[in-house]
Formats: sequence, structure tokens, C-alpha cells
Amino acid sequence: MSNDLVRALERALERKQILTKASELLCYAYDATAGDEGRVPDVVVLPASTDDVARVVRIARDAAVPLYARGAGTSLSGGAIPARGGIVLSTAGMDAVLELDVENQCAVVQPGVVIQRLNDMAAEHGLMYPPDPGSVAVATMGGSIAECAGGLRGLKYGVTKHYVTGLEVVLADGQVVRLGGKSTKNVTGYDLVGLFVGSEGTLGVITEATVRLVPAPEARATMTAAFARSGDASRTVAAIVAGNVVPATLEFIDATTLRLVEEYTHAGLPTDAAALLLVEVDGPPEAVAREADFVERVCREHGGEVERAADDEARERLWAARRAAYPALARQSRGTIVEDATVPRSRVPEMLAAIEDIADRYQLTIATVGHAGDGNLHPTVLVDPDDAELMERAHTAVAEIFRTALDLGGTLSGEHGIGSAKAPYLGWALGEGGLNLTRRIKAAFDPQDILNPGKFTA
Amino acid sequence: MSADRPADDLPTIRALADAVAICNRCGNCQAVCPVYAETRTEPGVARGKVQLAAAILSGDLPVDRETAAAFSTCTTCMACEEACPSGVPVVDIVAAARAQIVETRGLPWVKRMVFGGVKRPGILRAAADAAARLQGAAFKPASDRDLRRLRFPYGLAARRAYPPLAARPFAHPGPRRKARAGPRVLLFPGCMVTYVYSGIGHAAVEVLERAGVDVVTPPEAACCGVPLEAHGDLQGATALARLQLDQLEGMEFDALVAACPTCTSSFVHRYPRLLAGEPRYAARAQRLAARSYDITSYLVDVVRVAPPAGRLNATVTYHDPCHLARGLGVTRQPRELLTGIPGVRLSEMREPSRCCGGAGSFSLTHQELSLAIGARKAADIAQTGAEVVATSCPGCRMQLADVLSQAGDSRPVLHIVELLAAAVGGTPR
Repeated sequence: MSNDLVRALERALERKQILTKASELLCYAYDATAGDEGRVPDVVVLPASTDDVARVVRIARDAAVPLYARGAGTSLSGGAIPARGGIVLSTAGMDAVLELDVENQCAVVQPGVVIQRLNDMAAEHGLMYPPDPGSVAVATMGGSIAECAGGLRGLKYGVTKHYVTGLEVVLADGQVVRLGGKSTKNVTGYDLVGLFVGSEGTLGVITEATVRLVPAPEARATMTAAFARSGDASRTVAAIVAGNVVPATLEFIDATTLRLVEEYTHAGLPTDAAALLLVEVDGPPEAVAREADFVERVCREHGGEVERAADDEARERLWAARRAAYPALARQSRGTIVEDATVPRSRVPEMLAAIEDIADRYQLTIATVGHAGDGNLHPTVLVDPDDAELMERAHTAVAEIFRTALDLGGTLSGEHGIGSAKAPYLGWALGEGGLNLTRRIKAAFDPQDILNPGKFTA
Repeated sequence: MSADRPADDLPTIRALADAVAICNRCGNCQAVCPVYAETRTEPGVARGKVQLAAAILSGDLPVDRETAAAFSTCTTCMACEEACPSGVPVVDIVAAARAQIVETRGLPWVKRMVFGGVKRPGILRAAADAAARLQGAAFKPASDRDLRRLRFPYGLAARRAYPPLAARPFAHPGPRRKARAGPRVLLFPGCMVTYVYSGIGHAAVEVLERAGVDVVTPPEAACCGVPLEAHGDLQGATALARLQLDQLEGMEFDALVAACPTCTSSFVHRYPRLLAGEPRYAARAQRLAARSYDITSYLVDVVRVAPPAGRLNATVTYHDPCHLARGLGVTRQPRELLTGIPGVRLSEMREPSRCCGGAGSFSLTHQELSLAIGARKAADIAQTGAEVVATSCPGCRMQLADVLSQAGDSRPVLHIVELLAAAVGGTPR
């Protein structure tokens, strides 16, 4: 079967667009998900155009072979892992910014464009593309749209789905459809663009996207506030939001993370603090000054020890603790399970307490940073993928974190997606009716189940 | 080799098993890898190579020629190591994989023959002498300045242009003064300076002597061993490490200085590692490492050289060699030297420490990739508007000269010591 498949692909593409060596296939067996050993695909294809993609999809359809679209392979939920072998289709090489339309404040991109590159180009015109997942320097537009990536600026600027206005998609039968466009207002039929954003490659392969850009803020002000009690940090977050101030960044860093970051950076962080908030407000200079003063006052009123950046150098220093969080955790363990359970903002204190309790009960180190403003927390479990017993304990603990988030009115995933890693828990969140609807949508788009099979729609 | 080869048969790569395990596959290396920027494929990038190393260890990937080819697409520029949140020593892993393949499969005969010559300084010198005499017959001048192309280009070298071999290999007779007044350095010339850019060697001597430093050179111009280790010939590289320590034994000098950061990093990092298990050499390698310097850091940090008396009215841009910037952490000193030259204005290029794509023999074995990586550097240089390109590595100089000429750019490329020497004597060449 595999040889026939390769021969069919060789008729459709140039030979250099097809990878079949063992050493090449092994490199497409995984993504950034910890503890998933992945699965080696039968073949990898490197399309250069929408036509290439359509030809490959038709070959997959005719042979009823699984097809896994992949960008930079930075998914944290197993989204890009070829769970059933077959074809991996990497869109990384389709990386042209087709148009930067300053007048309409939008961009038309191929799926392989790296998010940061689009942002750099937009910045030359005083614009920005706000979604900024931690992997922004490497993640592709195609992958981040398929996963509906979020990021640190979600509270004020929203997430990927708020910026995609048009898509070109190759459907499971090889048909190419163009949906939406540059209009920001568009109620022409179903919101088909919205359906593909966050569909994790299960409904079609994104081959082009039109996204909104917004004016980059003129000014920003940054501060950190250290709290002796974690509850005070949470109440501060609530008070800031209640004051109708929407910071661009409102990050929570817990005591475990502070300790690990300090051990790694020796930057002089307040390791006796129970929590640290990192707050950044942006906008016109007058508004920024007013809002920063307000935030600073609220932090102090709640017992926070505030440090406010006077210049860019100081800003970098304040950001260092947040930026070092992941490297610090990564260096102090052989693996990390980064979760993204999300609860309504008001339930964050309960969620944090529950995570601490779960860590104690399962004897795990769980460090939590999070986008406190939008209730999107990242409890990160330090693991060793080679230690089966520890992995088992970690996965049980993670399941309990999911259960708790749902009980608090939250959800399984704020921005990483379901993929394979959270698929077993999807029923908890959607219920039988939601699961059935999901499967019917999947069957309508992809009756043969060839697009990213073995994931949340399985 | 069969896929079920027991892991114990893989001692060299097995030693790096813990380092392989700490990669958590985040993929951040994709942002900085010069090879990935061209191929946009996972086998090109560090994450892919580390996973291949893991697959060798687990027996899922055979130790064969195909695997060797996978590990050959790396310039060892270390940019991934700098970007890695987990601190994976990628270059060590790549080197161990290459060495393991040679250990298990042996060296291909061509490499065996070439490296056999490299390991014996006398033969290397004789071959280079003969080549220097015969190069007129084999090469014709390229359209540009001082580069040449093969007369009958085929295969590997078809698209590359080379500087001519030095008519006379670099040699230095030793200190003029009998009595020692100032510090004495051993100037380690290395192959590129000895056989290609002898002018860098003479300029280095001139600059050091003018700074009141006595200069001596090793008895034999032997290779530092990096080219061998890059191809996995660990045994050959270790033999050269011993040869170097042996020939320097008993020589009197305060510091070892090289104008090639790859050679310097051999003394600073590689020899102590290669010889760690050898009682006769380990301590000597450590002692030598502690007093080995790149010439720019020696001039700035140790002798605190005064700016040259003359002037050089030029806008200069500076390319940071990978093995100097990331390998030895030296980026400030070359800039201090440049801006200290009266009349020199420094115009920084975008990403000055991005790999130029030269990477020694990588420029031949992966010609297209090397030229593509270099073309980006040429474009970055063109944007600076600088009249002169400075760097502090003869290998980078050769690559930069080639890629600039291929882009139709006639800007001269010089080693910093040549600019310093020229600042006294007038204009460069």
C-alpha cells in the first residue's frame, strides 16, 4: 500500500517534495506534546501551492489514507502527531505573505508564514497581529489558526478567532473553497470561516488566510506586584477589571514558579512572595499613564509590593521572570506537561487552591503561571517521560485538574486545543449531545475520516 | 547495521543519552536555525536531529550512511543552543552522532585518505606546496578580484569560487628581540592562515609586536583537528590534540593566541574534553585552555592595546563568527578594536552573529545550502552601506568573499587584524 501511495504522490509532485527515508519520517512523528511518543508516518509531503495540497488530498481520499497537516509542530495537545500513520503534509514551505493591505488593515498569508514574521512586517506600518502564543517566533499561521492559538494579550485583544476573516481551504474530497474575505462584517450564510478556526485540521487543510491587523499601541507601561498571599493577587486582578481597566497583559506567577525561576536565573526575585502579578497597559500615552497609576494604586491597596518600569531596560527586567518561566521549568525536569484549563475570572482563586491541593495529593511539582485576566491558567507538571509511574500519576492529576475546571464553570482548554491529549475528557465538557454534534459535523466534512484522524473527533 | 543493535554498542552517542533526553521538543530552535530557514523541513533543525539521536539510542534508526547524511546538514553554529529553553547541547549531540557513525561504520575511503594527510603535518605541507604551484593550471581567475574558479568545474565544487592558496605558507621567524621585554604569545596560525590567508598571519604578528608582545609560532603548522571531528573522526582529532600539546610542550609563552576562533575553541574547549581521560594530557590541556585567547580578546582584555596611530576612513560592518560569538562569548572586543581605529565608522548589519553558512567543509559538501545561507548574509551586508566587511575568522572571510562576489558585490572582506595593520600602513591591500 505504502509503495503505491508513494508512486501516486510521485506522479503529482516533484520528487524533492516527497520524503520517504527513515531518518526523515522519524522527524515528523511528534510535536511539542510531552509524553506522547508519536507515530512515524508512511510519507511526508512538502507542497508548494494550493494545487499541490489538493492533489495530495485527492490521493489520500482515493487511497483512504490518513492525512495530517502540520505547520511548525509546536502543538501541546498532540494536534500534529500522525496518530494513524499515513501522510504528513507540511505547509511550512508555503510561507509567502501574499498581501499586506494597509488601507484595509489586513494581511493575506500562506499557511507556512511564521506569526512573528507577519508581526514584524505589520510593525513597519504601525500595525500588529495580536495573537501571540508562547511559540510565536516559530509557530505558523496555518497551525495557529487550526488550533485557535491565544497568548498573553488575550484579555484585551482576544485570540486567533477574532482576527481571521477569510480562508482558502482544501476539503477532504480535494475541492478548494474560498470562504469569507477582507470584510470585517460578514453574515453571508453560516460562519464557515469560524468553523475552520480551531478545527485542528479535522475538517480541511488551510491553504491561505486573510487576517485583521490592528494599530499597534503608541505607549505602554509595565509593573510587577508581589503579594504575600495568593488570594490578594486574585482580588487585585478582580479590582483592576472592576475599575474598567483592561490591561494588555495581566499575568499571574505562583510561588513554585518564582522559586524555580530564581534558582535558574538568580535575578533576585521575591521568592518569599506567594504570587507575582505582571501587568502591562498599552494605548495612547495619556490613557496609559492614567491606567498605570490606577493599577499601581489597586496593587498597593491589596498589599502588593510594586515595581514599575521607568524605561525599556527596566521593562525587560520585569518581563524576565515571566519569560524565564518556561526555560526554568524545562531545565529542572526532563519533561513538562503544560496544561491550559480555563475558568471564569472570578473562580481563579478556587482553581489555584485546587491545583495546589492536587499537587500535594499526587506528590507532584506543579508550577502555575497564567493569564489571570482571562482565567486561562497554565499548571505545568514537571515529569520524566521515561518514568512510567510518574507519568501515570501526572496524567491522573491532570484529569483531576480538568474535572475541577469544569466544576467551576470553566473549560478543558483555553488555547492549546484538544488533539489527542485531552480527547478522553471531551465528553465531560461537551456532554453526549455536544459529542454527537461534533461527530456529525466531522462526518459531513470528512465522511472517510482521513483528516487528522485519531484525535478529538474519534 | 540492524535496528536491534544493542545500545551498548553505541558508547559515544550513549554518553550523550541524558542530554538527548532533556529536549522537550518545543521547536524553538526553528526560529534561529540557518539550515531550517532554507529547507523548512524538520530533519534540518536541531529538534529533528536530537530526535534522530534518540532513535539511534532506542534502536529505531540504523547507524548507516543515510543517517550520516542526516547529521551532516548542520553548520554547528550553536544558535539553537542559545535559543534552547532546556539547554540541550545540540552541537555535542550532533558531533557524538557523527563520531558514532564513523566508529560503527568506519570512515569512507576518500575521507580516510584526506584525513590521513591532515594528520601528518609534513604531508599536508608538501601537498599544499604542490597545490600552490599547480593551482594556475587547475584554476582560472573568477570575474572578481582575488577569487578563482576551477577550470574544469564538476560535482562538489561547481559553483564555488576560492581564494588562491598562499604562494608561500605563512611562517614567522620568531621574536626579533633576544631579551624578553613584554609578554610572549604563541600565535597558532591554523590551516587557513598558513595555507590560504597568510596575510592574516603577518598582520597578526605586526599588530601583536606593535603592542609590545613577542610572537613565536609552533614548530609544525599542524591542523587543530576540527575538520576531522566535524566528520566524526574522533580518533584522528584526538591524535591531533595530542600532537599539538606535544609540540608545544617545553615552549615558553604566556598565552596562546589564534586569529581563527575555531582553532581557539579547540584549545579552550575541545582539547580538555577530548583528552579528559588521558593522564598524560588532561592537566596540560586544562592549563593551556586557561591561557588561550582569540586574538581580539587578547588585544583588548589582556594587553589593552592602544588604538593604531594611523587613520582608516571607512564605514565598516562586522560579521560575528559563530565560534567566536557563541563559542567563546566574544562580541564586544572586535567592535572595540574596530571603533578604536581613527576614521572607522561601524555600521551594524541585521543579525550580525547569524551563521554565514561557511562552516568549513560544509561549504563544499552542502554547496547549495551553504550558498543560500550565505546569500542572506550578503543581503544583510548590502543593506549596511558599509565600504568594508570585517570579521575575525578566516573561514568566514572565505565564505563572505565568495557569497558577496556571487551577488556581484565588490566590497572587500578583511580580518580585523588586517584592518588594524592597515591603519598604520595606509589603506588595506
